[in-house]
Amino acid sequence: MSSKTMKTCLALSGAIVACLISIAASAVETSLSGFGTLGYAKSNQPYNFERFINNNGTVARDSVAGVQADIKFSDSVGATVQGKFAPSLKSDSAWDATLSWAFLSWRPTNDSLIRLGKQRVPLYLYSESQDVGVTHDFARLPSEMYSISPSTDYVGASLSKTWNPSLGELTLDGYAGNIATDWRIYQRDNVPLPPPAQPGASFKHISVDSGGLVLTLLRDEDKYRAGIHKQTTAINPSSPGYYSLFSAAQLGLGGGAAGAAYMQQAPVTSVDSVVFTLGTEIHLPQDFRLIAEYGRRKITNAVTGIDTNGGYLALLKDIGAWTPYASYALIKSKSEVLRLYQAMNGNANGLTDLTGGGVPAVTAAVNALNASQRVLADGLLPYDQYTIALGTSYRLTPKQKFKFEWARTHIGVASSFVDAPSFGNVSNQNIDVLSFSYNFVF
Amino acid sequence: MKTTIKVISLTVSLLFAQAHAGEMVVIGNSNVPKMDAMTVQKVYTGKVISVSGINVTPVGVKPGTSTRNRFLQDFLKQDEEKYTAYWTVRRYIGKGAPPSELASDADVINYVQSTPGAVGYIDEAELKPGMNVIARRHSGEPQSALDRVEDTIAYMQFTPCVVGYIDIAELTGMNMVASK
Repeated sequence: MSSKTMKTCLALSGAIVACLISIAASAVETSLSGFGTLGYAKSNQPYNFERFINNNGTVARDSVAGVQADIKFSDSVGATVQGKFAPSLKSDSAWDATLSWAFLSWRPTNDSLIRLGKQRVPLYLYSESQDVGVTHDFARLPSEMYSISPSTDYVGASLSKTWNPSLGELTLDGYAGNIATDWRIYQRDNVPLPPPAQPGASFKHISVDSGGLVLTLLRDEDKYRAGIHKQTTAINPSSPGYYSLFSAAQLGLGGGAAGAAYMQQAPVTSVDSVVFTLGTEIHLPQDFRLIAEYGRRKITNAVTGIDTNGGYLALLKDIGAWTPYASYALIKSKSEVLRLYQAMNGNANGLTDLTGGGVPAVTAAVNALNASQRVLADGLLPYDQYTIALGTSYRLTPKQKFKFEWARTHIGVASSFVDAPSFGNVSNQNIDVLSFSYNFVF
Repeated sequence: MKTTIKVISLTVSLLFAQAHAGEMVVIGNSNVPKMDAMTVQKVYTGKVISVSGINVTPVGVKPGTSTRNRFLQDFLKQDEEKYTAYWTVRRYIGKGAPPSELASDADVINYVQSTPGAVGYIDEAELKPGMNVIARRHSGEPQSALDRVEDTIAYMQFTPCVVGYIDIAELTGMNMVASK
């Protein structure tokens, strides 16, 4: 990160904090708090995993700092503003100060809560507090589960209603809103293709309309959650939605070429999805805890690797201040999408120039179409990986935690969490990651 | 009018003699109604903001004090660690901040007496005439008012040194100590 970027980010952070203090000074009752994680992760591979992790080590993957103001205008009306400083969602080389939350809340009764503004979807068990490392024991919340939605934030409205049957505390959350954010795409090969092809990491602007219902049951200390979410993601520029294999003749190459190449059949300017989530945290005898989550992201109008099943299972044990754990996480695109990925990825020489270079237009077309096969494969956004992790948290004080984790991620066919090398493949490989972090709130 | 029988265990009387020491009391501003222990718990965990139509504002003392530790244990059945962890999660899922922490029991008393809707906890030894005691609790006291007669009977039969009252029609093989 350049010093100019750092100065800009610090200035923005200072502005956010000053704004919070200004609000605090004039509000009825304000509580200021903050959180942070200083994390370091290193893998055994030279390529980037989850944007930043490689064998050089990085603090970018897990580090974050934030401040929050809880403002109480009256017993039933308040506001919450949270600012965060973390690696940018628009660039791999920048850190941004952003507004995580800014919402008004109103509790008309003890059992109901209405919120308006920028807030977070209760998508997963820990999604609302996922930036605050102290609130859970994992060194890193499993990406196989916590990446299902392009964003857990939205600007809109939510309504929460709680009942207290004999079963426990039952809460129904409903929400609707929109978020404009950026989706990172990684193209492996540096090939001379026109835009939107772009080698390396690029950030596609998306706008997500989302709405859903989440039902949560708290029974003693156990938690059970189920949710259904509808999302429409507008993409600019458009993305391929469907693909077909075209012969050289169908591609207009006549007798000058042989073979076939994949091309997008119909671009889409929006992707419709329905996300189902299940989660539970259960306290077992002998201070064991079982945490499990499952997410099904079903895409209804495009062929894409983000149509996935994902989830994890973790077993933790509370031993005084220590909480060791073991977890298994998995994410997998639909089988037909993985087969399509393999077919495209393996079709880099699908067309053969029969002119021997004698017809430049045919040669150029063949070269471009062949080069585009792996680019199209990258655009499918495939996911096929599982992670086994062993780790522990150590609670230094109620407001400070150290965490350590060793994890092995096995990549099957491919994974969009991996920035595979140019003209290379990361398939059927293991990525080992060691992670350390210090987490605090104040 | 139904005849109500008050069932009193002999050993409870011994407990009363000892229980007066270290009793925690919850006081409220003059406009705050009485509450049971379960409601106090919900007030201090942010799950209740209004009791009988009165908006309540809970306050406490700073962590590490014996008053706070005893309150957390007696009313919330938690220690400081769990309570702090609970409010950390609740704050960072956007559901509010923990009750304000004042420097001393005297500050709690002053705040509660001068602020409509305020609720605070103190040691019974700090009580002064005219204070509105809205809940009190000592070790062994039931966590909350039980909703059903069957629950009351079951609780008394399986929990030593318990006081409860039921209708004579519900009496079956129990230790009746007093009646009216």
